[in-house]
This record gives sequence, C-alpha cells and structure tokens, in this order.
Amino acid sequence: MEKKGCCIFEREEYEELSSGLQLAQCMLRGKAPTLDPDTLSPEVSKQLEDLVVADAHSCSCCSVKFPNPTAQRAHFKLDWHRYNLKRQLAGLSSVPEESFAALADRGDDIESISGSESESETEGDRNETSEQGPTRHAKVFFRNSKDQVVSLYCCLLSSSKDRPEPDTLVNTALQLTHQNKWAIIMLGGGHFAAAIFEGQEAIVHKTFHLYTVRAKQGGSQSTRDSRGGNHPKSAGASLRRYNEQQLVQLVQELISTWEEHIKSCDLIFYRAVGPNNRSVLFGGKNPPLDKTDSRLRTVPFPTRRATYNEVKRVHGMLSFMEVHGLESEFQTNYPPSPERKYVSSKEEKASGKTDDVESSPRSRSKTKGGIKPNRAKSRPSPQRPLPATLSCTASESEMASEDDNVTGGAGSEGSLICQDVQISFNDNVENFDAMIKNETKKKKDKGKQKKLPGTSYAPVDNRSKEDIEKEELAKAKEAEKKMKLAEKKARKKAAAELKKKQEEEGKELLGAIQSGDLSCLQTCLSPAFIQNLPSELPEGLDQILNLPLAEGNNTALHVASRLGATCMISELMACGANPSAWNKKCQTPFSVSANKDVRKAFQNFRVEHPEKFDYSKSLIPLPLTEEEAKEIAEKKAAQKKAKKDREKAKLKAKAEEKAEREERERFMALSDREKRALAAERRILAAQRRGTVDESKKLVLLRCFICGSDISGQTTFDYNNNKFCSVECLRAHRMQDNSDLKRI
Amino acid sequence: MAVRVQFENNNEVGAFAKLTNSYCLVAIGGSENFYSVFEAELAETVPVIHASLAGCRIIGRMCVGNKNGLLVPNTTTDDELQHLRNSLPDRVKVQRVEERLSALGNVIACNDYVALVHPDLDKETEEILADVLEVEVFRQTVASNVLVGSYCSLSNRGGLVHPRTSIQDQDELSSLLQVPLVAGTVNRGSEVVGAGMVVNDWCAFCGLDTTSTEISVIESVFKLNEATPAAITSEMRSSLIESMS
Repeated sequence: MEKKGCCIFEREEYEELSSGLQLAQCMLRGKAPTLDPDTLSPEVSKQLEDLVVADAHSCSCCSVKFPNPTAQRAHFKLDWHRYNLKRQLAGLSSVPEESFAALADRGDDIESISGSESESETEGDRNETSEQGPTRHAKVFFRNSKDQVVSLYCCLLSSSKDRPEPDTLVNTALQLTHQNKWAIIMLGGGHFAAAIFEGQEAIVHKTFHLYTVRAKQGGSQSTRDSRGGNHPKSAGASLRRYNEQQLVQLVQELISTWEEHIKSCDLIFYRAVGPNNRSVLFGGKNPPLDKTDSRLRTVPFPTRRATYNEVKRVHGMLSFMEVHGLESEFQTNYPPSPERKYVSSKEEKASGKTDDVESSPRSRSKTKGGIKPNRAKSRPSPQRPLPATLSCTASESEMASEDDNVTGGAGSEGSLICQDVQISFNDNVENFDAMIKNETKKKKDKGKQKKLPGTSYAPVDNRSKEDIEKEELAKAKEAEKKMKLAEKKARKKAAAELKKKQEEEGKELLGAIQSGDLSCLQTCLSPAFIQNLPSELPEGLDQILNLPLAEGNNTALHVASRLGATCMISELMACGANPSAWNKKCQTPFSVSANKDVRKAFQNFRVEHPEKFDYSKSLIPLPLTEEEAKEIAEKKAAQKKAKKDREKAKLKAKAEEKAEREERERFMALSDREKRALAAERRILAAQRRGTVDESKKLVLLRCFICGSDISGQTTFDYNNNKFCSVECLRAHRMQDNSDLKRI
Repeated sequence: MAVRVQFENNNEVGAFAKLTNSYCLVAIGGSENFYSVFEAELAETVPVIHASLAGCRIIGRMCVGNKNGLLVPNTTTDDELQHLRNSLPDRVKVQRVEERLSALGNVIACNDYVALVHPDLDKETEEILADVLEVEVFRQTVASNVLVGSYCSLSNRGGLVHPRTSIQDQDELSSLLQVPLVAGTVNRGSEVVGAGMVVNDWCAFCGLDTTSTEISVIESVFKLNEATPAAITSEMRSSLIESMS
C-alpha cells in the first residue's frame, strides 16, 4: 500500500499540509485535564464545606435505584452486581436483573463471576493494554485545517524523556522544516553507517564494516568474554577482539572529524542496540557523543543492517509526514480507544446470548485493534463467521428446530428431541446369513443390546409380522448371550482356581528348594505330580517354574541359585525353568549365584543343552576352551614368578643395606689416624684392582670421616688429610678437634 | 493532625506503613527516621510496631486491617506472624489468608465498619474479612479501578478517593460506606491516595511532597483538626444550656 504524504523538507507542500495544525482527537483522548495540587477546585471546596454522607441510594453500574439504604447494601453483595461490574470493566453494557437470572439459571456463567476462579492471565493482558493508549504510539497524530489527519514521528518533536504539551508539539512540528540538518548514526554487528543530511541531501557519509561478530553464530566477542569461563584463544577470537577495539577507535576518529557538522545539527538520530554498541557511541573517557545531549534521538522503528542505503531509508522515513485521510475516516480505520475493549471469551459468549445486536466479527475487530495476544499462552479459537452457504443452511435448520419447538411440546426449549427410526434390512441379508461370520454377528448384537435400554420405543400401532419375527430373533439372541456370559463367568472362576492351585504348587516347590531336599523336588517336578494338577493346565509346570514365587520377583531358579543348590539347578532347568528370567533387580539366576559351583552348574547345563534356551539374556558364559585355560594358566604363572623375583630383590637390597650400615658403624668407631690409614690402604687396593676385577663389584674406597657416608669418586672437602662429604661435616670435625685441643 | 513524612526518600507512605485505630505497623527501614515520626505522634495512644511481611518492606500494600484485626497474605513467614501476634494488642486478631490477589492492601479498603473490595476477591477471603475485621463487605470499583485499596483511603470519619471519581460514584460510595467522601490527591498530585497516605480517626501521615492544599483537604475530610470537645461546646451547647437552665 502506498503511503500518502510528503517529506517535511518540501517546504510548500509541508506548509500546505500543516496549516492550522492541531493535535488530533485521538491524541487528546485519555489525557487527563491537569490537576493542580496547589489550588482547590471550587467543587472540592464546596464539598469540603458541607461534608455529609450522601443519600444516593442507587447503583450506577447496574443502573438501579433503591428505596432504602438496606436494599442498596444488599445489592452490592449480589452476584448480579459483580457480574455487571466486570462487564463494565470490560467495556460492556450492564445486564438487567431478569436476564442475569436467566443466565444464572443456565449455570454456565456462574463460574465466570465466582471470584478468583476467572483466568488471571486475561487480567494481566487487560492491565497491559490499558497503559498503551494512542499517546504511546511512535507517531503523533495531528489534524490540519483541511480536517486531514497527518502524523509525524514522535521523536522528531520531543525527546523521550520529557512529556511535551500539545502546544509545544504543534510549534515544533511547524519549525521542523527549517531545522533540516540531521545526523543519522547506525551501528550494529560490526557495521557502521553514518550520514549527515541537510534537507534531503547527504553532506557527508561514511560506512565501514569490521569483523567483530562471529559469522552465523552471532554475539560479539566481548559478550562472549564477559560471560566468564575460559576466554577462547582462537585466531578468530583474537581477531574479533582486536576489531572491536579498532571499531571504537574508528568511530571516535570519524565523529571527531565531523565535529563541526555535528555541532550544527538540529537532531541526531542513532541506532545502537545493546550495551556494546551503545558503549561505542557513549562509552570511554571522552565519548564521541554526549549522552545528555537534548538533540539525541533513537530511531523509533526496526532497521536493517547499517549501510548507507539503510541510513537514507531511515532518513526518508523519519522525514515523511504521512497523511491518513479525513479525520472521520481515520476514526473508523483506527479503533478509537484500544484500552478497555478487551472482551474475555466467556463474557463475550454471555453478551452474545443476551444481546444479539453485537455480532461477533465486530467484537473481533475491536480486540484486534487494541490487544496484542500473548502468543506464549493458549487462546480460545476465534469465532469466525460461517461461509455464506453454511450460514444459510444453519439458519434453515434453526428455523426447523423452532418449528419443532412449537409443535413438539412446551418446556423443552433447547433440548433435542430424538426420534429413533429402525430400518430393517434383515430380509435382504437373510440370504447371506450363513456367510456372515459368527463373530461379526455377535458384535452387531452387542451394539444393539447396548442401545436398547437407552432408546425409548415409540409406540408402534401396526405390528406387522416382520416385527414379531424380529422380536423373536432378538429374544433368541439374548438367550444366547446369557449363555455366553455364564460360560465366561465359569471360565473366569476356573482361571481363578487355577491361579490358586498354581500358587500352592509354587509354594510347595519353593519349600522343596529351600529345604534342599532333592527327592522332594523331584516328586514336585515328576509327571505324576503334574497330572494331579487340574487338567486345564496344559503347560502348568513351565508356568509355575517361571512365576515369581519368592519375594523380590525371584523365580524358583533364582532361589536355588542363591542357596547354592547345584543339583537342583540342572533339575529345574531341565524341567523348563528359564535362566533368563529377571527378578525385581533385573538380575538373572546366574548373576545371583552363590558360588563358583553354581556358576559351573549353569555353564555345564548350557554346554549340555545348547538349544534348550536362548542363553543370550541369561548372562551364562560358555565355559573356557582348553587353549584359553592354558593361556590363563601361563599368565598366572608369569605373574607369580615376577612377584617372587621382586621379593628376592627386596631381600637382597635389605641385606646390602644392613652390611653397609655395619661397615659404616665400624668405620665410625675408628680414630682419625686409623681412618686416614684405611683410606690410603683402600686407595692402593683400588689401584691394584683396576682392570683386573670387574667394576660391578664396588668397593667403598673412601668415607666421610664424620658421618661415614660413601664419598668414593667424589670431590672431597679435606684438611690435614681428613676427608669429609660436606662443609658441615668438616666444621663439625674441626669443632671436635678444637674441643679436644682445649681439653688438652 | 496530618503529618508529612518520607520513607527513605520515598513519598508513598501508605506502602510502608499501616495505620489503624488500635495499632500501627511500620516497615523496617535503613534508618529509624520514619519510625520515630510515627512513634512521636502515636506512641501515647497505639503501639507502633516494626514489621515485615514475607520479607518485604511494603507492608502497607500487603496487609489489611482495622481496630479489630489484621489479615496478612499467605506468603508471611511463621516468624513474622509470631512477631505480629506478640506485639499487637490481645484483642486484635491476626490471620493469614490464602488469597490469589496477595497484595491485600491494594485490593481491600476498609475502616472499622465497612470494606470495599476488588470484584474478583475470593468468596472465602470475603468471609474471613467479615469475621476477623468485623466489617460489611462491598464489591465495588473506584473510578473504574479494581484496586480499591490503592485508590481510596478510608477512616471512620471520612474518605479520600481517586481524583477522577465522578460525583455520582462518590455519592453512591458515600451512601454505601456511610462516610463523607472527597476526591483528591496526595503527594503533589499523586492519584494513588491509598498508597500515598495512611490515616486513622485522629491522625494522618502523608508524603513529604504533599502540598498544603492537599493537607488541608485531608484534614478537613478526615476531620483531623477538630478538637474532641468541639461537639460539646458548639453543637450541643445550646441544647445543654437550655435543658440545664
């Protein structure tokens, strides 16, 4: 749809359109006349002079008058009053007492008025919408001298912070065409576009793009970093981080170069969504733009990627004064007041019932104008008018039913009158009777029988032969059915008995297993015993064996396995006890087995009867083959040997250590002279030995004279031919010497 | 006597205090300034109690009460309830109510005899209200607003309602409640009179922003500036003298 209007910079047209400009009626609606808290209105002062309890015994909501205060008090407690109150809040007319009584009799609307049972969600919606009057619209609507409604974006006329007076709005609108230098700055996703317009011409413009947002994934790198956790160290991440800084710098540089232009601008529009983008424009030590600048405006509609074309589009849209046509038409196109037009589905239903003047499409359009439905919540399906043909037939049928009401009898308004007509096609089907399967016939009968008590037979005057036949047939069938029912009952009873017997048998079995009495078990499992069981039990033993007999859903096999009764296991399994049966903990008999023997018994059985069960779920493994057993034995032998070796080595080390300790002690006991002599002796010995004896057998050549540790081959600390491992030992020796000297 | 007071730089006194003829609840604030204003004015007559409800300071909007009792929302903790029971006078009944509209102060306006309630209030709550507070309950709106507690301030001697209540509605309400009503504002033009002030039969507290005009309206509609013996000296005087002579 082409929008009508003109650009505000086309002066002649604009002036023509804006002649005699004043705020449109819709802008004034809902705007309260200003109250001055500092002066008393004459009404109030008059009221204050004679403060009296009024005697207006009426209810304006229900539009009734009362003869006395008691009646009035009683009225305010009625459901009727409350119902009207809610209707009034929903913007509906009140309902007179009689029609309310009718509604209440029907019962369906009582719920809607019984206090807090109504939907709280609808209430929330209502409150929300009541705030969004037309004054909150992004545009300001004016009326000009030609009675046309024209609109301008609100942001052109005032900043969002202050609430302007109507006069100032009009004045600024008239001044707009002269204040034609605008700056538009758009920023988002690493894209930057800015331009400064004078009138419709762009004086300067600049766009650039930096890679700051992850392709496809979105989200700037700084957001990702500030989210905590690990900082991504990928090349891309660092690139984006760098580019973000670069972007800030570039924008600052650009705006500082445009400073002259921006200073002279009348309005500055910006679009920077999110704290990151805003911080580019307003953050930092000396921000490019001053946050408190009164010329700053945000772009009041969604925009696309920041490009020069988009900036031009935004400029075009902002500077466009739209003409909506004559005010009278405008009122019909735009719903007059979106607030308080919400009709909850129940109330709408009620209104539809009480006054048929309100047709559903109208009320629908009303809701459409005012309310944004909450799409997160389920909504009742909208009432749509029926297609023409359908509504035609519907009205016809309505007429027909009305006729029925007239003829059909009094007092049954609305209730359906059922007339059952039985169509007999028995004669036609009789020929094929033999071919109809028994089952299908039975089904039919059942259906009929069910229907019988529900339907009321209309008195039939002329009973033909056919009817009599039919009745007889029905009777026969009824008898048949009775027999079947009896049979079923008998079968049920038998089944119950069987179950009981099974349980008994199961108990016996369990007892036998728990007692560990193999012979007793064998008698339990013997075919003779089984034949004693009721004859209707075809696979009785199998069933019993696999029933969860013991607690925890354990079967007989579980019990035997847990008790470690090896001989019984094969017996039970031979009789058909399933090794894959689960108990309550999802364990098979094999997995609850008490010891190795039991497991072996299971394995043996599996080898002997590989086909008897499906062992895949029983968890019984196949016994090892000879090779495998050999391999395992070898492995074990090797492990044993290694262990022995380790122990031997340990013993040896211990012995060596002991010898060393003894040697050292012996050495320590020697006097210094002897020590020196020993050291010399050893040195000679070592020199002799070199080359002749293998190096592996080491000999301690030299020991520290103080601590006795082995220092052969190391550089020693020595004085007076006394040798030490460290300076500490040397000092200790010296001290000793000195004390000796002193003693002397 | 109407007193101007602020709760931590906030003028909505009615949100942070609850004043009745037999007790006064005051929110626990950062400083004792607010409390001490109430205490100075009321301490001789009624107990002034520090309280919180469900950990909130907006006790005036959460609870409703009069000289007979106090209703608190079901979010009130046991400790808070015990504290209230301990500190309130014995004849004041305290009860917790299970009500969906849990800001009871916003949906109920009452004096010692009558109560105006939100049209959607639960039937059970209405019964509890009638039992505990001993009031007659009417479902009505004030200036098409369901939050009657927020937009209306009632005492036994008068009432202040939303400034946009029509004269007819005022008359109806007045005849229903049997108190004179005036439409007015508090706190320099605020229309939430219920949240902007608290009042009982001899004392009112409103926000610091309240203009002198508003104060004068409040004092005259709630009859706060009349000395108690006035009735004897003025209205009944002549008849008394006549009969005695």
